[in-house]
Amino acid sequence: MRKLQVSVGLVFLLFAAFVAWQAWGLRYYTRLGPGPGFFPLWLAGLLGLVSLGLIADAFRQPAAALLPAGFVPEAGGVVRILSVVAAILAAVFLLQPLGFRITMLLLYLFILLVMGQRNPIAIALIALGGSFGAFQLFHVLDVRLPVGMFGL
Amino acid sequence: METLNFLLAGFVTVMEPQNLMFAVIGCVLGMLVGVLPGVGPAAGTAILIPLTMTLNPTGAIIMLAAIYYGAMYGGTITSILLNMPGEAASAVTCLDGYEMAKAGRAGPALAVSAIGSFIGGTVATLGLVALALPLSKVALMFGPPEIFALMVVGLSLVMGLAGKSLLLALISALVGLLLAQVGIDPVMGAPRFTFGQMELLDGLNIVAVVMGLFGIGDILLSVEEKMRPVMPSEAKSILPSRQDMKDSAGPIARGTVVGFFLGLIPGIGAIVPTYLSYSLERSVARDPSAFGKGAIQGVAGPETANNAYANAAFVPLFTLGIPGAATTAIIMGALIMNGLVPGPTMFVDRPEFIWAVIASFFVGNVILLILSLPFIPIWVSVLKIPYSIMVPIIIGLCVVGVYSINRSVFDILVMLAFGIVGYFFKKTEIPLAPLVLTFVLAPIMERALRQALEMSQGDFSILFTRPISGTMLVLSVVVLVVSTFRVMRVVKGSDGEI
Repeated sequence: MRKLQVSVGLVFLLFAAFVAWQAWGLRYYTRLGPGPGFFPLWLAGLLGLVSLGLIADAFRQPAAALLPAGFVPEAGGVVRILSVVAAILAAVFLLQPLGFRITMLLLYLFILLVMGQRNPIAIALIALGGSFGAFQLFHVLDVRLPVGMFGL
Repeated sequence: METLNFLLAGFVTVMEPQNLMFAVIGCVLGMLVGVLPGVGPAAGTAILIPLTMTLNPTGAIIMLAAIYYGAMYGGTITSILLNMPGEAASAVTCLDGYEMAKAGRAGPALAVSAIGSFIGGTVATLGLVALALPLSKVALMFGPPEIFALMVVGLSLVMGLAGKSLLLALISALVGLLLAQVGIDPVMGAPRFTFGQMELLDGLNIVAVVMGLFGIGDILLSVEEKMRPVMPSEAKSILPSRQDMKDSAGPIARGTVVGFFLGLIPGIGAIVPTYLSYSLERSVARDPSAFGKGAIQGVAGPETANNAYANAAFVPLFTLGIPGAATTAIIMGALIMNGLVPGPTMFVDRPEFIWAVIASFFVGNVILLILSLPFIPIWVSVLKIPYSIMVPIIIGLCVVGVYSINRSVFDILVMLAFGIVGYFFKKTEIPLAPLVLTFVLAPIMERALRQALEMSQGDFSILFTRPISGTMLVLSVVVLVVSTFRVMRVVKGSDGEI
């Protein structure tokens, strides 16, 4: 638990340092009052202080205290998490070139298989409904979705 | 009299077939989403916001509010039938609700929850009607210094969302304040933290942020574990007996009072009224030992308090522009996206809109009662849908939903990034509610402070010399100190347990 809390504190300390560095380049004060850099600099400073407080608090806890049960996911869980993230990321890059219908079809197919669904009828219904069906629904609602290089 | 006239006009708007349909659809969708294990009202509301973006503002907010209290009831269904709360506030319902379900009395448990929710929600809405105009008239006397001080009071109440760790809540609140800095500076128009990205000039899209934090974040947490099929208890008969209604009357009345008054206070969180109601019912019960073994009072009181709280939380949002909870903060974001700024000026500038929304709460509570009871067998069958099908559908809905707002793939990227942030926040027990609250309030606060300082030519004493803002700033310090001691006492006294 101590290592976890120190790590969390360090992450936010680094984040605070980054924000402060970026805010340094903005105007701090004008003759009429605070400039664009005023708030971010003070907030970053506060975040840095609270992060240091969190790290200091970590050393009040026993060093041998265990992580909460189930904190570290099993290998299968890690694969599923990374697969979901990769699938959404792929959708971001494929949406314009391939179009909405093909991209969403591939997204649904991939995630259904990763989640362990093996019924071909269920897979086909959900993948087609979520891609081609959704495209038609949004067309009726007058929301334009991207059409890719294959005209789909 | 003035209030009554406005309210009647609001009812005329709500009873238009289109708006009635939005309320019905919102209740159904809210219950559907609330029934999904692991998806609470905040996530459900966030995921369904894009659906409302194609509607006019009145219809959009009517639907969103219906989704909110529909999702609250949906969380009750999973608590009673599955022993799986949709959110922390529903956890207390599991104690007696699931025991009732195991004894074949799921129907009366669900029915009493629905009736109690209806009564609590309706009374809270009456309270909103009574308080709306007086509170908003007071708030119209506010200038930038008072608005800034009011936001500080709202932020200090965020410490009520601290839970076990004050430091983690502070970190969450500060991160939310910093994320709100992205975009164009509200006074001088200078770009901040945009890193050359045109898409960031408008700031981070609130819908993408909350869908990521609550929707994708919850999904990532859920797929960590191997999915097991859920086996809900059967709901044999639906109707409660005369004795059940007699036993529930007192808890419903007390739950209404507890939920309503706590809902007026921003930052309390839904978990407080439900647990307080449960403790109250146990302490006044003739046989406290029956609690935890299927006592109907243990379901009626907390569920009523939960819905009364949910409706009362709109009072500070509409009258003062302060969201009382994470879900109302999300709804505030949706209001802003529809070009409406919540607060007292809405009662002056857009009375036809705000009173239509308030009237829709009455109608929505009736719709919820009518829909919830007969639909119980349907909600039970929804729970039988395998998680391997549910997860892809939710992910697909999130991707399509967030893209459809601005037709921007950048928003999908923001949603994914915040999904990862939400996942890590939940793993490390950093509360998300303070982040959402401060993210929504920060732009208003910064603009108000800088306008106040322009008024005073850079002199900070304007915040303390004006009586209303000075009083509120002192009040916020008091609230902060009291909340800090309360949290420290909870942590010291419980030895790590809540």
